[in-house]
Amino acid sequence: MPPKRGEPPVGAAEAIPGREVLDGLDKLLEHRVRLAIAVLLSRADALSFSRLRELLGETDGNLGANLRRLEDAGYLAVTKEFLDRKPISWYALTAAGRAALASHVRALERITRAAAVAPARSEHSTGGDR
Amino acid sequence: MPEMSRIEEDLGYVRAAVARMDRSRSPAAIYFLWAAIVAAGFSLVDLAPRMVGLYWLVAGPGGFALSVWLGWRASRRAGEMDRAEGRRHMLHWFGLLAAGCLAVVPVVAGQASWYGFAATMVLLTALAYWLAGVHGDRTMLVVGALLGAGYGVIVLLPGPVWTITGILIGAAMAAAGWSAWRQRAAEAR
Repeated sequence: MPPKRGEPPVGAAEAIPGREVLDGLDKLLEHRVRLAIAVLLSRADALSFSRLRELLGETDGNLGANLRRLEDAGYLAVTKEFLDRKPISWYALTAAGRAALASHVRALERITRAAAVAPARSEHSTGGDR
Repeated sequence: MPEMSRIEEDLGYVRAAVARMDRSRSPAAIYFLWAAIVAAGFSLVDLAPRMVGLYWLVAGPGGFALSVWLGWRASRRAGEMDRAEGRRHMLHWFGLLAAGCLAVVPVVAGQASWYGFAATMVLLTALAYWLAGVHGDRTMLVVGALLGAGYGVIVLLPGPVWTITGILIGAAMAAAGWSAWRQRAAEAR
């Protein structure tokens, strides 16, 4: 049955996730470097600045700026100490950071699920399998 | 859909970073430590059998404690603090230590010889290294396989096989340590 006038075609609504799905995303974690920082920190008690730089392959400036934004938002806690007479900054995810990451990951799962369902429905409606 | 392809690219970036983090490496110093402990401890069976019990009584728990400290120090120097991972490693190797203590019981009860105990320890150690290789650092698979082969040599062949086996296993551990050290140095460059 063709769609009524003014209605989107079948499958179009799923092709682009609805606004409510996208609203679950955390603005800060939409940036891939910040998302990766949060994911890496969720897998350890703490990581040093140099270890994060090694894992992400980012420049000092870029990594530092992204860490600062997460820290300002209260997602990260920083402690500084000396190891073998060298200053070292340890970064750890706070409870707020963990909660934000969990909610962001749930939103991402919803988006990828919606995107996976959309092409299948779209193909079905246009007889793609036949 | 540009939004979706951007999300996929971002997730690929995150996945690659997580994969780099998951590359498990034991510190080279731990390999070198056990290379020395095993080579000396096995050779003692042929050269000074009376010293074997005392040696392992000190070297076993002492080497374990030193390994824990070396692992802790290496992870801090690498910039990673992960108590859960440390606990996992400690439980794995503590299992071997506990099994070694329990393997003494049949000897004390007169149901097995010290020779049988030592052979059993080689087999248990082979299994512990093999499982450590399966679940983490792949270089330990080689050490586990060599220890398994060493067990066969000890049980089946006559002569100073303990010394030969100890030196072979020690050399394998030293080679694994050398490989871990070179890998770490290459990554640091």
